[in-house]
Amino acid sequence: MTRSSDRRVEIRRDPLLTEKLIYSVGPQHPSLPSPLELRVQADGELIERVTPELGYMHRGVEQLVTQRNYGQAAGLISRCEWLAGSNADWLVADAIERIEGITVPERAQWLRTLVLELSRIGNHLFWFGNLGLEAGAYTPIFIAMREREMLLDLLEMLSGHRHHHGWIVPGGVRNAPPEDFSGHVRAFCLWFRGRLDEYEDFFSDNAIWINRSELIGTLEADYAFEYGATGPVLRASGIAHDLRRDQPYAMYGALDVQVPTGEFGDVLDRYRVRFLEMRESLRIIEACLGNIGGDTPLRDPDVNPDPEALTVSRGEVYTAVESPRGELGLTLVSDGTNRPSRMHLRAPSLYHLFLLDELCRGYLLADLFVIYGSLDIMIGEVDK
Amino acid sequence: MLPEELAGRIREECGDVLLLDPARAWAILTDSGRLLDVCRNLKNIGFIRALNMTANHLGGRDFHLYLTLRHGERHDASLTLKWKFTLLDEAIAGEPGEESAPAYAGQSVHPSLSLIWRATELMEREIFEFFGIPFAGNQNLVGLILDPQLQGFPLRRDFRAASHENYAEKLLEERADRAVRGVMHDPQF
Repeated sequence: MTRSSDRRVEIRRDPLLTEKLIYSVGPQHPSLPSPLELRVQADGELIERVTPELGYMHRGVEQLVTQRNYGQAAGLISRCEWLAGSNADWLVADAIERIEGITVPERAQWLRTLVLELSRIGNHLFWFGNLGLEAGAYTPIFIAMREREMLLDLLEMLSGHRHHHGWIVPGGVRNAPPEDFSGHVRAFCLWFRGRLDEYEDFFSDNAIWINRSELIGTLEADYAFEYGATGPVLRASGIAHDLRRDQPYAMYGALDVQVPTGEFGDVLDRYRVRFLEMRESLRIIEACLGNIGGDTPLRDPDVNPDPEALTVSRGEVYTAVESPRGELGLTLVSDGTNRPSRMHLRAPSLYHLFLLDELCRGYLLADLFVIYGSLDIMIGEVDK
Repeated sequence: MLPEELAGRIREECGDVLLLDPARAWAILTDSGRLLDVCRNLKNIGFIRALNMTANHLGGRDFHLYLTLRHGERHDASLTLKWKFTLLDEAIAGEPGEESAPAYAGQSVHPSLSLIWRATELMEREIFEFFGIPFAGNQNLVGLILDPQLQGFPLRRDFRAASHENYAEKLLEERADRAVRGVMHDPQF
């Protein structure tokens, strides 16, 4: 069966006999936020094949975690997902809680939900700024970073760290939020909703951006399904699948999460889906704020708070979180000691990266980075 | 999570070889020889998405493999399948990163699931690279991440990084050599 991307190449091929060229893009390239090599075969300007070459950031995380205690392992896993590291913290905590049968206090669950959504917005803002650069627009990165700084200030206020928060721990959360935290978050939501409208005004409806993104890098739903796409990439192709709604964790089950979808699976749809997700995240954050007050416990008292002494019974579990990029999964095999026997991270970016070949075939070289940017690839979680 | 009606169908189709725990969305395959049949049945039941596949080295030549599936229509339905695999005799596996899929000795290969779920092709490549389990039928069984010069399989229990004590030194020498040669056109690229 001929793939649609092959048909696209044939239709758009220049009848002139042009020499086929192979470009090596990266591993250091202005359009690649993290090191990766893309080998691009092109006929003139028409992309025929894209092969990702990985490993430039490999740190051996899955091997290292087996030599660390669970607290340190969570920190290492979090460093695979540095833009929204709380998702990785949540994964490790949830895997341990499932094996040990730990019940997390409800207030802590609300706080976890809040932090996961703040992380989602922080990630999407970085993506938005970067996508602007890929498309040749410089304004998004400046304004997105402005808002992101405010968001990182909030997370720092909560956890003491701007990136790898380590705030979600087995049994609950590490500490209570400061007294004025809710007020700051509420003010941020109010401010950011206005800024989202501003972004939409100057970028989303911009004719140049629409020309660069509409019907570019289209991904059919069946293909996305078959090749392991998840998250906004899958939803942009029209499939309404979101773990927060379909397999609710933390307090998402009580929040009636709305799942935006696209129609054509092109760059523009992936862009719009993420923008709608940021609005939905704001709604979720505001809903969480009403439930994080009080002085009820934030951690199961039976869980050993010393990460070095925390042992996990023998068991195996797969758990997953709807990270900003898709389904971030963790397989944990524990052997009763204070160190994991095996930990494997399912990185959504790996599958999206290998979709690049299908997405780029038949488009122009100039489209390569717009398509790449629309996928929101995190090389840290791919290379591990 | 595994809804009861799907659990019922799985018991009907694969009950004789699966120990099913719907509460954990977990199943253990008792007869690894039936793996492909079970996988085809699960796909027919509607588990059309392979989300994750990984392995755990138990020591010696024994491995556990884990495959997580999701239902195509019931997005709330997942299942993780676990089975044991024993590498009967050491495969004549080329080192990760070789250009073509190497040849393997008879029974020491694991059947590839990539003809059932295309997404498992990448997962099998990862397992091959880190554990040295060869997958027969995977059309693109080459390493993904590791340096092709690295010897051995880093996630096996018997892997010793110390055996590569000169590795960093060699790498630096090679990089210096490249820097001297400058950027060259490589016709084999």
